[in-house]
Amino acid sequence: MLELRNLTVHHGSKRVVDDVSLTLAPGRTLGLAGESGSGKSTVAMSVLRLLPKSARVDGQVLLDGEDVGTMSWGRLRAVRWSSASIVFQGAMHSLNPVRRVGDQIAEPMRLHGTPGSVAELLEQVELPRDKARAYPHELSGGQKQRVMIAMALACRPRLVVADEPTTALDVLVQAQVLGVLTRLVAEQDLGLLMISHDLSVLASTCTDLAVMHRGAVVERGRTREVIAAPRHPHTAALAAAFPVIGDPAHRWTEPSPESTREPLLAVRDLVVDYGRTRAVDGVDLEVGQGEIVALVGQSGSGKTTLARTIMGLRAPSSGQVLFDGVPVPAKGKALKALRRQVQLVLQDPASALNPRHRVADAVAEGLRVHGLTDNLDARVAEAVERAELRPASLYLDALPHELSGGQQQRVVIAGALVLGPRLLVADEPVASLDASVRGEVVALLLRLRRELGLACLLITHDLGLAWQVADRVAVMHRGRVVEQGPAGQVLLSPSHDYTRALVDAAPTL
Amino acid sequence: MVAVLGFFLFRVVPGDPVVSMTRGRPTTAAMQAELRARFGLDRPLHEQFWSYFTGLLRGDLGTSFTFRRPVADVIAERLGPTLLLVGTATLVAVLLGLWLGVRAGWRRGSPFDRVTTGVSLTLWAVPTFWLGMLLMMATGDLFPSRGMRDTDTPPDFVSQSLDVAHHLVLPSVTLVAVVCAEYVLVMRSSLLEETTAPYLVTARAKGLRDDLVRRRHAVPNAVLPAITLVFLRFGLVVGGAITTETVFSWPGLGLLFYDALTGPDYFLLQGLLVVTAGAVVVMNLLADLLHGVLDPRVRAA
Amino acid sequence: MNRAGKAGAAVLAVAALVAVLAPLLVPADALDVTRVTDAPWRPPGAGHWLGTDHAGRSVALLVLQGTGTSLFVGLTAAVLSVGIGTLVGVLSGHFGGLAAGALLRVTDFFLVLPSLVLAIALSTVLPRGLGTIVLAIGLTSWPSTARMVRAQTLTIEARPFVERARALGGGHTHVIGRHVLPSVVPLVLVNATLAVASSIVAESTLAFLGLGDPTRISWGALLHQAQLHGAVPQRAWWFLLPPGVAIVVVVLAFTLVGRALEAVVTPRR
Repeated sequence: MLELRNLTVHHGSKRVVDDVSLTLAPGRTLGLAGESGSGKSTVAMSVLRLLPKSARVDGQVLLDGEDVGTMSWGRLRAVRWSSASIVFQGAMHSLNPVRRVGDQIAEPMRLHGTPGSVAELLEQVELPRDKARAYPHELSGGQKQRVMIAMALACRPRLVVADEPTTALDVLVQAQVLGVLTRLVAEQDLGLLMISHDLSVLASTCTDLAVMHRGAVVERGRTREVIAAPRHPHTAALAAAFPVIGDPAHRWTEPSPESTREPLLAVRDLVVDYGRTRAVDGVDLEVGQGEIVALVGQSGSGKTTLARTIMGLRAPSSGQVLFDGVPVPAKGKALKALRRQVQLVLQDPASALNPRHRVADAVAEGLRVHGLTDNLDARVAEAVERAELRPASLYLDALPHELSGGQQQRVVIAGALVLGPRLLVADEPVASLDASVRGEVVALLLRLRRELGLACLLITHDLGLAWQVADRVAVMHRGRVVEQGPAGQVLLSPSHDYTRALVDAAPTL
Repeated sequence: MVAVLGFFLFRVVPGDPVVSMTRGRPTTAAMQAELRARFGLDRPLHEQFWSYFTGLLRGDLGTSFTFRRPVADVIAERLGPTLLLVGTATLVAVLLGLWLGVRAGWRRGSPFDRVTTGVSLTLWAVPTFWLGMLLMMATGDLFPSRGMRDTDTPPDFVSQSLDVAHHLVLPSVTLVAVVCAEYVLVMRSSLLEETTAPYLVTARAKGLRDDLVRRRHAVPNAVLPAITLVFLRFGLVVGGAITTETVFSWPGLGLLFYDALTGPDYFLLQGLLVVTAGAVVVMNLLADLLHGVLDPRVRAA
Repeated sequence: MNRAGKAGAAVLAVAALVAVLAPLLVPADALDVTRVTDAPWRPPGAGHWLGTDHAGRSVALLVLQGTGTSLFVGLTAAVLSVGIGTLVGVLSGHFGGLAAGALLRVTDFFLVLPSLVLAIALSTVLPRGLGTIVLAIGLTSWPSTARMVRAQTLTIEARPFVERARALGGGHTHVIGRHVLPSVVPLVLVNATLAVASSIVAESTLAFLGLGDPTRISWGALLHQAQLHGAVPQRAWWFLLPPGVAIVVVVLAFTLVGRALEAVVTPRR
C-alpha cells in the first residue's frame, strides 16, 4: 500500500533523509522510531508531498503503486486525505484556532465528496457530539488530539500517518489517545505509519518497527524481536533509555549513604494560590541530606509551583519551607545567601541558557552575582569538568547553540555546582533530552550525589526516571501529595488509586 | 484623561495663554487683563479646571477666540465634510490595503509582492501634504482642488452630490495613498506570520487548493491582528486628514485645526484636541469590541 | 544586510556628507532674500540648475541647506523618543505591580492618541524653535517603542534563563543589565532607525503647517514657503519637487536600513 523506494531528501546541502526504503502492507502497523533530527518527520511529510519547495526529494514514494512525486497537482489533491491522511504532532497548532472543529472535520469530507457525519466521527473517538461546535482552544490537549484523529479518518483513508501523536500529552491521556487510535486501526483495517521518539509508545501500538538514525534506517523488523534483541547499538541505546519499573537492572541508585538523615529541606503544610486557583494545597515533604526524592505528577498537578516556592521564587500563601531548620526568607540578603545552598536545574537546557552568553559566562553568572570573583576562571573550569565536559577549555568559549542538548544540560548543572549547593531542585532535567544522552545525565546526577553528598528534589512526570534514581517518591495530584514513601513501595505496590492509574498507564517496552 | 490632557496642554504648559495668544500683536496690559477676565484666566487653576471639566460634561468647549462663537458649534459645523472625507478614504484604504497585503504576503518574493511592498514603502515615506500638492499640480484643471463645492452648481440633490464627489477625488486619493500603504505593510506582515503555521500544513494535507488554504485558513487568522492594528493607527488617518484638508482647503475639522493654530486660538485647539482624541479612543474601543466578535478566543475570555 | 538595506545605507552616507558640507557648499549670502539678484520663479536652466524660488534664491542651494536641519531633527527626536520608549518599556515590563500597571495605561493611552495632533498642540503652545520641534515629536512618538520593548522584555523575562538567573541569586539590576537590555538593544536600534524616518516626515509636516523654526531652512519649511507663495498655481514644479523628493529618498533610505536590520535581528522574517 505504501512503499518508499530509496527516498532521499536534502534541505539545502544537508541530507536529512538518506536512502530510506520501507514498505507497509494494508492492515499492518509500522513504527518509525528516532531521535529529534533523525529525519523521521520528513519521511512523514514526504508521503503526501508536503515538504517545502526548498527541499529536494529523490527516490520514490509509492501510494497504492502510484508515485506521489510525479502526480499532477490535481491528482495529488485528490489523493491527499482520501488515500492517506496524517495525524500531526502538536494538535494545538495543527488545528485552525478560529474555526469550529466540526467545520474542520467536515471540510475534507465536503471537498472529497465523502458521505458521513461529523457526529459519528466524534463518537468513534469517544468525544460527545456537541464538541463539534467547540473551538480548538476550548478543548483539552487529549481532546484536540482525538479531533485530529477524527479528522484523519473523515475520508476513510486506507493509510494513516501519525506523527508523534501523543507527545506533550500526560501519561493517562496518552494511554487514552493511543487506545482510541489502535482500536480504530484494528476495526477499520487501516494501515498505520506511526512516528515517535518514544519506543514504548511504538511498542504498544505497532507490529513492525524501523529505527532511524541520522536520516537512515539502521534497523527494521518485528517490534518484539527488535526490542528484545537490538542489533544496532543505537536501537539498544534507545531501548535502554526506557527503564522498566520494577526491573532491578534499571534501578541505578544505591541506598543513601547515611542511615539517620537530617532533613535538609522540610515543607510544612504549604499552600500556594495562583490568583483564585489553589496550585499547592497543604503539602508536607522532606528531603534529607544526600537524598534523592522524586516528586511525580502530571502537568497541572502543582509540582512546578511547589518547586518555585521551595526556591523562594514564589511566596507561599501559608505554611512554611524550612531549609536546614530555618524558614526560607522572603527576600533580601538572607534569601540571596540561601540561593547558594539551593540550586535549580530546568527542563529545557536550550532555553535555560542565555543564547548570547558563552559557556564560561553562563557558569560564572552565579559567582558574579554573589561577588565571588577571586579565582573565577579556575572555579568555572573545575565546575565544568565536574559536569563531565572535559577538557573544560574545549567548551568555555562555546555559545549554547553550538552544543548538543546533553552538553547544554551539563553547562546548566555546572552553573549550579559552581556555587557549592547542598540541594539541587531539578525540574524534568532529562525530559527534553534525546534518549541516548538521557542516561548519561541521569548517571551524572547520581555521581554528584555520591561524590558531593548533593541532595536532589527531582520533579518529573516520568515514573521510569523515578524508579531509576529516587530513594523516595512523592506523588502529587491536584495540588496535594496523595502518596509518599520509599520508591520501591510507592511504585511497585501503590496504595492510592491515582498512583495505581499512573503506574498502569506508564508505557512499557 | 483626554480632558485632563487638553487642559494641561493648553492651560498649564504655556504659562499665560493670553500672552502667547496675543504674541506678535499690539496689545496693552489693559486689553490683556480684559481678555483674562473674559476667559476666566484670572481665577485659580483648580477653579478653571473645574469649570472647564463641568463645561465639557455639558458639551460646552468654551468660546472660540477668532470666531467669537462657542467652540462646540464651530466644530459641529465642520464635522460633516471631515466624516465624508475620512470615511471614504478609510473604507477604500482598508479594503484595498488588506487585499493587496494578502496578495503580496501570500506570494512572498514574487514580482507582485516586490512591486507592492516597494510602492507601499515609498508612499509611506511621502509626506501627505506634498503628495496632495503634486497631485494638484499634475492633474491641473481636471479636478477642482479647492473647497467642497462650487458656488454656481444647481441646487438640486444630484448635481450637488456630483459636485461634492468631484471635489472629493483629489483629497481622498491623497489620503488613501498614504494610509493604504501602511495597511498593506501591516496586512502583509500579519499574513507572513501565519504562513508557517502548522494548521496550514493540515489544510494542504486535506487536499485544499492553494487559494482555499489562503481564503479559509490563513486570512481569517491573519486579518485579526491586522484589523486591530488598522484601528490602532486611526490616529494616523486623523493626522493625514489635517494636512490633506489644509492643502485642498476642504472645509472640515482639519482645516479648522490649521486655522486655529495659525491664530493661535487656544480654546478652539483645545476643543479640537479633545474631540479628535476622544474619537480615536472611541475607535479603539470599537476595535476591541470587533476583535471580540471576530476572534473566538477573545469571545470566550 | 540585504541589497535594499545597503542602498539605503549608501544614500544615508551621502545625505550625512551633504549635511556636514552644506555650510561650505552654500555661500552665505546666496540664501539671503535681501541680497539675491536673480529673478524669482525662474525654471531650471543655466545658472540655476533647479530654478529659483519666489524670492529668486536657488532651489538647489536651499535643498542642500535644508538637509542638516531635517536630519538633525529626525535624529534627535528619534533618540529622545526611543530613549523614553525603552526606559518605559523595560521598566513596565520588568516590574509588576501598580506602578507598572499605571505606566502601561499611560502608554496605551498615548499610543492611540493621534501623535501628529499632539505634536501640533505642543509646538503651538511652546515657543517656536528647533528644540520645540524635537520635543514635540519625541514626546509624542515614544509609545510604540515602549510597547515593543515591553513585549520583548516580557518575552525575555519568561525565558527559563532569567528564572535561572534569579535562582542563582540575581537581583533586578542583574536581570535587567545582563539579560534584558542586551536582548532589547538590537530591537531598539531597529526601532530607532525607523523612528528617524517617521520623525523626518513629522518634522516636514509641522514645518509645512508653519510650526517650524522660522530662522532655519528645512525641507518641510521649503514646502511651506512653496504653498504660501503659490507654487502650485504658478506651476513651479521645480520648487515643489526637490524638497519633497529629498524627504522621500532619505525617509525611504532610513526605512530600508531599518527593515534590513530587522531582518538581521529577527531571523525567519
